This record gives sequence, structure tokens and C-alpha cells, in this order.
Amino acid sequence: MADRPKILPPTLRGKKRYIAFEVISEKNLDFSEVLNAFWHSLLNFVGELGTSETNIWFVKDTWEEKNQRGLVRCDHRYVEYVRSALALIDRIGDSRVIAFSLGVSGTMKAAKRKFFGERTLEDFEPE
Amino acid sequence: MDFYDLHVEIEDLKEIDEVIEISKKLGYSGIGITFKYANLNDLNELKKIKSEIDLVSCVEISAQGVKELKRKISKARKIVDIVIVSGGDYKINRAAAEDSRVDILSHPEYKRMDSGVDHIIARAAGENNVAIEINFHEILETFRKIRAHVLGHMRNNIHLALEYNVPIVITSSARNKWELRGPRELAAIGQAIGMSLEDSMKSISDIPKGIVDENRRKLRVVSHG
Repeated sequence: MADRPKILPPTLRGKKRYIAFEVISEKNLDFSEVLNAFWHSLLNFVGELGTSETNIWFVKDTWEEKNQRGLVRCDHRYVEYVRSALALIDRIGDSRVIAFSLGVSGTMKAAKRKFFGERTLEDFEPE
Repeated sequence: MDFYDLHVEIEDLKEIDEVIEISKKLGYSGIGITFKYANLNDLNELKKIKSEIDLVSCVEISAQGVKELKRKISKARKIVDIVIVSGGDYKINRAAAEDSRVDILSHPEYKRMDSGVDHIIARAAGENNVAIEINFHEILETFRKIRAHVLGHMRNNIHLALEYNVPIVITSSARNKWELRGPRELAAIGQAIGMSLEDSMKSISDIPKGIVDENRRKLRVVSHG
């Protein structure tokens, strides 16, 4: 018997949304700084109970150091909570920042295509 | 959708290029550059600036008494697009709500133990079409206990405003470029403190745009004839 629970069928999983966000700041920031500031802001604003409902997850691989863009996953009912937490970040370390959302998407693939300019084979027309 | 932030209070006009650039990036169609009443002469400099987004001239009037307030409003009304009254004092809040020349009553709950708006002010503001402002700067600069109180007072004001059909505008009230926030983020804050998402989207787009268009139309009529 496996030592972990089986993956739930799609109908029983929570519905999720991916929010693409960008950070404007005085100096380039790395992923862990943004992550800490975001958690701090979210916990301060909606509290521990509210945060538990948002089912938040940072997608580490998607953080683009160059453009200062990233993806965050949350429950589909609490997208606005995440947006308000982004708005309330005003300082990361000793740098002033503006964090804002670029848009919301249902899948990681679509989010990357829409907000990160990623191209797949489908974008190229066959000759 | 055209987004407007009608209260950007930058201290130095030299910074305006950066403010315009960031506002454009955040997706605004127009921002309201707000002057203090004492600095109204800087208005001419604003008119010289060319930008891709709409620059709305606003004045923020703060006064000690009702008489002073009325005098300042009548002087500023013919010059600027938007007249904002800096609230906080109950008498000023009420005088502003009862004056149809005022466009926006800014932070009525500022430095108060209560929300600063009661049913009388709300009714008057509804009749005179004076918008009540949700000031994001107040939320941003406070934290913990004070922020909880400020949010509570704003919630109270929103409840009264919805009851008496008072327009609500959400503004960033930024003092420098780092305090600007995106329109969707401001709408999210609005939703978090008791508005429906539809209403809070309107309060950063249709309502401020409506106020600006209406006032510009009136100013044109006055200047022509």
C-alpha cells in the first residue's frame, strides 16, 4: 500500500486560479524576498483563518528575475484577497515597491502564454 | 474600461514624468494631480505638461471653519476640474456634503474615533451628488489596530453611502510614485470592505470619469458664455 493518499479526482479538487503579478521596485528582488513580503501582507490583512481559505501557493519556477514577474495560485473565490494583499505591500527590505496583478488565468499554461509571452508549438502555423 | 485615480498628491511637480509612466503601466487612462489650495498657482505648470494619459486638475481644500471653506470653494470652482474637500471635522464634512459645488469629500473618518459620516451627511451628499472617497493611503500608512479601526469606519461609510445612493470613489491618494496602486488592486480593497465587485469597479472607472466629464462640460460652458 502506498504511504500517501491518492490524488483526488478533478471534481473533488478545489477550483484554482493563477494570478500573474509584477513588482516595480528600486532594485531587483529575488524570489524569497517577495515571498516573505507577500505572506506577511496576506497574514496581516486577512488573518490566519482567511489565509487558510485562500489555499495560497507560490509557483517558484515561474519567478522571472529579469521582468520581476511571477505566478501565485489561489482558490477561485478568494482572488480579490490576494489582490488586496499585493496592494498592501509597500516595502521589501529597504526598497520601496509597487506590486500589482497582470491578470488571472485558470491554468498555468494559459497564464504563461498570456502574461509571460511564452510561445508553444501551437503558436507556429504549419507550412 | 477607463480607469481614473482622482487623488494623486505629489509634492514635487518634477516627479510627474515618473508618476505618469508608472500610472500608464498600471493601466490608468487618467490621474488627478491634486494641489493644496495654497499652491493653486502651480496649475499653470500642469497645463504645460504633455502626457499620453489624461491629467485632471484637482484641488484639495482644507479649512478650519465653514465660512473659510465656502470662500475657498467659490474661488477654486471656476479654475479646476475637481474640487476635493479634506474631511475629518464633523462640521466640515457636513458643510461639504451640503454644497453641490464640491465633487469629493475626502477621508471623512480621518483622525476620528468614529466614521465621521451619519445619515444626515449621507442623505445630503446623495442629494448634492458629493462623492465619498475611500482613501487607500490611510490604509497603507496604518497597521494592526489602527488599520482595523480605519477599515471599520470605511465599511460604515460605504454602508451609509449605498443606502443613500451616494457615489463612492476609491483613490490611492499617493504622496509619491511608490504609493500608486493598480486599479484592480484598489477595487479589490473596495470589495474587501463591503462593496460588491461591480460597485467597486465602477468607483474607479465610471464614477470618476463621469465626474470629470461633467465638470469639464460645465467649465467649457462657463468659459464660452
